[in-house]
Amino acid sequence: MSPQLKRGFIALCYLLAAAGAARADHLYVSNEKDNTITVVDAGTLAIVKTIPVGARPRGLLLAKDRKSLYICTSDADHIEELDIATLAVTRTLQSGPDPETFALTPDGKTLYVSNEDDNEVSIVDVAAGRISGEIPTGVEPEGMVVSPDGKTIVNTSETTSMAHFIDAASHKMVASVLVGSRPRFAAFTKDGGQVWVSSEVGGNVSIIDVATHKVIHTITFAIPGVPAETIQAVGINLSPDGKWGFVALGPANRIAVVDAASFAVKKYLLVGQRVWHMDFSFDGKTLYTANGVSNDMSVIDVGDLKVTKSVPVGHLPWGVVYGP
Amino acid sequence: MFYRTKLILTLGLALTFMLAAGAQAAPPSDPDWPCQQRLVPRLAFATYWTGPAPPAGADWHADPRLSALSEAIAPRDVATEDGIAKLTAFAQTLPEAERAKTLPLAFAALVDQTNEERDTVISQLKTLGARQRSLAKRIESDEAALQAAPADASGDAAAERAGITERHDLLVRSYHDIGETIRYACQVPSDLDARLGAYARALATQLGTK
Repeated sequence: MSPQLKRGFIALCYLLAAAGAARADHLYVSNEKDNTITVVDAGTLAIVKTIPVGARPRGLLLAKDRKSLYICTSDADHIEELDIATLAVTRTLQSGPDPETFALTPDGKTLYVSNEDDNEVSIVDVAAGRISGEIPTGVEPEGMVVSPDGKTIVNTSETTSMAHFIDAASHKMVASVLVGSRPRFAAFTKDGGQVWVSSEVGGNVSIIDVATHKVIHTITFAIPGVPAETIQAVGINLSPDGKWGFVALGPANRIAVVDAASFAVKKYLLVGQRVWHMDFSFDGKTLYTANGVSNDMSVIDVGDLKVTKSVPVGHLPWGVVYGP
Repeated sequence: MFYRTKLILTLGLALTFMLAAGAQAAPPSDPDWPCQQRLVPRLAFATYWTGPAPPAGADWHADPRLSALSEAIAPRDVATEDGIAKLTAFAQTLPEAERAKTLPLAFAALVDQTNEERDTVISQLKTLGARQRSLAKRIESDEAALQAAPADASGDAAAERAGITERHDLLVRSYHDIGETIRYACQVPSDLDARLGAYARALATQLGTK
């Protein structure tokens, strides 16, 4: 290679590296009422694009390779796959009726989808985009999560107020644990030792020991002056460092910050109205919340435990995912 | 056969879980509340506000400016942006030192007046809900009567059957019409909630607490 060509090549490498560094990450918000996904630049917090999708988009998941986003389009009765590079919907996957929430296996090959209307969890082969099996579960299945080792699936059922533990290999139910009324969401701790289950009507979070399938603690919430019936626990996000649990309290307009070791509530953060779901930035330093009534997304500084910004998005935001 | 077995299995599991869950059943809700979202009877100041508290013992009714402001921007038909414009204009008429005392009281006035607006809507919704329940019972009873009456009846029996059918169809139409009204009306408490939150944020901005 001539010295001139070599210099040109090095300059090109720098340019490409700079372009790569300049590409900010993004937030993807599902707007249940508008049938759209709002894409927000994580650096500037400006809206980059509003993408029309199928009817009533709710649950969102980033693919394990971070190249696509899966969207539960509930009233369209399927899952849509959004290509992150082009911001276009590239295909649909089967889901069973009325998909609301789902979970991905650690290898990214299988999705478990809760089908509220027919008391089943659908098993979706991601590559084929087809349902490969169904697991009968409790009445009105809702929350879905897969353990970090991929061996256990947990599904909550709203009417029966239970968290069902399902063996991922045999798809057999191994335990059903009674939790608070109308359980909505489940999250595993990083080590897989506990499952936190939120209950919307109960307004609490049950901590289940995975080894014994016993509730070892119930976190309750009380905010001075805020009516108890508005404290409806829904989304749970455990900080990547394992220190905090963040619990979205719906129409109480608060995020409870819970010490993950003692289960004590350290603080309540005032965010937008009817906050349901959240996601962390890749570095875990920022938490984003989707607020369904105020039609915005709140930005929380995890280090300071402070709400720093509110970003208007579409109508009835349901979920938010941080991605490239 | 496979589907029948699966259905029996699913129903069996559902029944088992429902019996087991009896101990933690959801608290009883108002049977006449027709909306999907849980009934929140009163909106509370603290749900929206973490700024300075109103001065102890202060009552917004005693300040005619706050009565006039809340009466102007709390009614249902006031658009959020118009309300915010009036609220901001009012805040800016206050000397800086007075804002931390008066603006929390202004929000207290807005919470009270918005609750009055919501009370009216909630009561109307419950009336509609009660009517729906009564219609559902009458439809059910007519359907039972139609099942009991032979479809090939003649004479008086046929005339009676035709009468029940006509009444049944009318009731079903009313049920659907009221259902549509309820669907739209259920959005109103949520809209009032959203507007109150927007007012709280506008006031927080004026106070510099946001």
